[in-house]
Amino acid sequence: MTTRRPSPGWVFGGSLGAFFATFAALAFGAADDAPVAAKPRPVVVRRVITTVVVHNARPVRRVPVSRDVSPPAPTPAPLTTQSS
Amino acid sequence: VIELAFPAMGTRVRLLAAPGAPLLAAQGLIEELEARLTRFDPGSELCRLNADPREEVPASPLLREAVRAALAGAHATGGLADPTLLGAVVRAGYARSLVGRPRAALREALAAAPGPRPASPHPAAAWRHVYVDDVAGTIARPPGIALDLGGSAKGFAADRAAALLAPYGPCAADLGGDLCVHGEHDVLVLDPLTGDSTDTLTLHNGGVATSGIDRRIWWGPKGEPAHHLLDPLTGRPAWTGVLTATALAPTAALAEALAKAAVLAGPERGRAILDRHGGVLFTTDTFVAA
Repeated sequence: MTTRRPSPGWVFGGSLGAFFATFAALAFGAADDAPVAAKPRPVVVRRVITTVVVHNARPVRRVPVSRDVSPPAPTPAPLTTQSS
Repeated sequence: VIELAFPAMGTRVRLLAAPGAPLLAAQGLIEELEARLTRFDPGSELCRLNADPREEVPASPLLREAVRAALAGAHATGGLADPTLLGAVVRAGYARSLVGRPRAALREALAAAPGPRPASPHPAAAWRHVYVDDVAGTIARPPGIALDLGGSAKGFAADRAAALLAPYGPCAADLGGDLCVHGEHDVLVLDPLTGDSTDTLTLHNGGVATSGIDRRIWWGPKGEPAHHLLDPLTGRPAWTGVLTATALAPTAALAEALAKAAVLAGPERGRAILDRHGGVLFTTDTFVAA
């Protein structure tokens, strides 16, 4: 049985061709994907409900604010007549 | 202007006066009048007078003056504002104070009320037989005649309180809508059905009062509507076609009598009564400014 070995040129040339073929395929494939618009993602709105627990707190003592001038006297409500 | 507000005589009292005016003294006067003139306290001077079997009874100056004011109101209205209907008003279901008691809805009561008919003075005119004697310090009346000052006491008290405040400047004494003012004041008239103000009366040294069937109104034991303004002739609540009447007069006591008489007289005669000094009449279908 006789085995013929390919010449080094054929091996080198074949490898080079396979490289360019793979390179071209990858390059054109990426170019085809570029114009495709991304699909819109559904928006999920989550409502966060915060429960506030109010404790019966002691009333806060308000410190009266000192004023240099006394506040104006409130205007009396209008006089009205109605049966009583 | 300074103001003092407090409850008295089954209503809300407002006193407005110039700084320095004796508001507390005026409050004390009104509270003393209430204590003496109420018919809901058996210990009041008025109740003791009504229970006294004597024909002539000693009375304090305040009671004598209050009774005299009520009699003047009866005289000015030909007996429509009659202070001798105590028995009838008790029989109508007004034996105790209505403060805090449920009130009948006005529209429902009107729908169930008999047809409108003007009221009339009682021909016997018992009030003409009540005498006030300032010299003897007494009040005389025939046996069985009991006095009810509920229809006149607030106006009288407003006049007395305003007289106390007047020397210090413009003032107003408002007893639940019966007012006496010194100086010039605007007073709003309120619609009895909606509570909205419909008219503005400008007063200068005088009185204004409103009487009506819209506040002291209740359902009787047989489901019939009742209120406190009685027809002197029948002794029963008067349904005349007038809801409220507001009267102007030189004093609040007279204004109160005129307003009550205008309600009892019905729309036509009521307008004539208000024509004396001016006022506003609300009838069951419209209102007329006089």
